[in-house]
Amino acid sequence: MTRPLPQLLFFLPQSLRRHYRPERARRRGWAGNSSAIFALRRLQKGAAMEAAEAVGRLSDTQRLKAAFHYTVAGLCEEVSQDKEIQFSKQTIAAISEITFRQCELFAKDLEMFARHAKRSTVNLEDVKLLARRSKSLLKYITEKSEEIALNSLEEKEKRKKKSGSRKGRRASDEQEEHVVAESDDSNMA
Amino acid sequence: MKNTVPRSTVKKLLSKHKPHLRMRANTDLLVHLNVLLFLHRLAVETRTNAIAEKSKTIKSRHVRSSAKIVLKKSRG
Repeated sequence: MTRPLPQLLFFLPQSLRRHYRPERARRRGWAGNSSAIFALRRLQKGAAMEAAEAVGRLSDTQRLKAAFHYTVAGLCEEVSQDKEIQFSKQTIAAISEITFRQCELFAKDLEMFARHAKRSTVNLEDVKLLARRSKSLLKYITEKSEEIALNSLEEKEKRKKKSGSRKGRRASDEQEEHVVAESDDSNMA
Repeated sequence: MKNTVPRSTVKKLLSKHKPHLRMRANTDLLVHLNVLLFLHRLAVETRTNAIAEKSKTIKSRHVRSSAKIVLKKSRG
């Protein structure tokens, strides 16, 4: 019963452990088991408040950077599993920073392309133009854009059929079933 | 270097590459400006290459290795 808290500390995350000071806990009478739990709760509350405050203090760019970092770390994890190579933390941070700055350049370029075509909305064509410098990248992006175009066409057709089916109910239900069966076949193939 | 621009040569070269592409007036001057800037970049890059190799004269291999880099950088 002399030091129950240190054992409990193993269940705490690293960020909370530094809040615990055994001398202060003893002085305040948190050394008992039941009061230890209260102490932990107090600590957790304080830490949660701190974290919320920290998030509130972050600017939009910092949040965006954090999101970039998270995504980059996930992608790096995939690559490291695939190639059996480990990334250091600094490498991942550097990659995320590079990605962030590259995105600024991309945004400016896309804006200029759209303006050149006297549009205010960025198009798929603009993105293709952005990737024109490397042949392989252009090929990849063109394939992807064709895929997207096909998908959107299919969705439009489906919507048309659905809107048509609302008018004549029974006959169109059978038709829809046929459509579903066909699409399943195509998925299997 | 002489200060005249070989306008008809520039136009001819461009029309050779893209026969159906028409040019507005004085665009060839801007094309020529781009060429000059490209040559300048190439010269600077080649000289740094030669200095890095501690050779006092610019040799063909310096130009070749720097041309690769500069051509890649000056893609539109």
